[in-house]
Amino acid sequence: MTGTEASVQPTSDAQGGTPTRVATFLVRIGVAFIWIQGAGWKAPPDFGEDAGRGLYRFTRFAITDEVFAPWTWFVREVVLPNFQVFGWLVLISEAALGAFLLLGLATRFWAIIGVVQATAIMLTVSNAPNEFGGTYWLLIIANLAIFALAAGRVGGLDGVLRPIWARSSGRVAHFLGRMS
Amino acid sequence: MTRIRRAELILAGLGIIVGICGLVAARDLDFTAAAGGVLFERSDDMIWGKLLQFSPLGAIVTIVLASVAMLGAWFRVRALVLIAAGGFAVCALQVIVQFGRSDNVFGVRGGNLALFLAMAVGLVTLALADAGETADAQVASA
Repeated sequence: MTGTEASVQPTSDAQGGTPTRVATFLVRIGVAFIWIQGAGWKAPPDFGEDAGRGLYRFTRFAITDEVFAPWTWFVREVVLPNFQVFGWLVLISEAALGAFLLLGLATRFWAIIGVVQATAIMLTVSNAPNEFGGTYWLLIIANLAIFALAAGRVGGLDGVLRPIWARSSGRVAHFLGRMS
Repeated sequence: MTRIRRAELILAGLGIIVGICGLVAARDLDFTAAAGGVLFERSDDMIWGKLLQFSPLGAIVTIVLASVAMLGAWFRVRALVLIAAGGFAVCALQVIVQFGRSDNVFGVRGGNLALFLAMAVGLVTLALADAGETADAQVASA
């Protein structure tokens, strides 16, 4: 088997049998659902700033219940003064995370975005009242697992499209192949 | 049937199912209710709880667009799949423009942005990949 052939193989050989594939698929879909749920309550246009609730209330926990001093400084000096821009970034990034993980398209790229996003949430709210900080570590670990397992190759569009990307000489196809 | 067409059919079928669930959830609401009916509202603590919500109009648009994609995939009319993808992209824009406002005619929440984005990106990616495959096959057979 050549290197190219090996790189386009479906992951069944590398990732074990049916139980492993089913578990990999369920982890990806479950994490996608979590991101979609997260996007659901980030309501524009003010994202809770006027009433002091919603995303604004949770973002302020980075200051009132500090987890990591540099992050607290960043939220106080950069995020809160530009809160609506930040709110849109959060809504769009969490919706995109849900969409791409649900599809299993460019999955490894989006899994890394998920790790970054989950880390930001963990640094913001894990010391807040009634929050269990371990939840966010689990979300980071789940996104890392999706990256490690290349979970979009199991029941996702990455698995359908990787052979086509591998045959293509285009930059986009090459990029998507690497990100899958 | 190619794997690409099968994926198009599955994606379109899921869109139809979600739209029908949305129509059931919104059955007692005004046609353009800003606060739509929530799918699996009583399952708030489950990962499938409160993912999506629709007004009857939002649910019907979802069903129609997914049905167009289904017809395009079934009869191999790529233009229909692309039209459906474009329609879902417009729906995603609707979420960005109207979610959280009183003129939210599709009755959506942020999670619907993920659904519409997935349908738009998935269908257009598959349709373009299918076009590339067809062109390669024609070159190979010539």
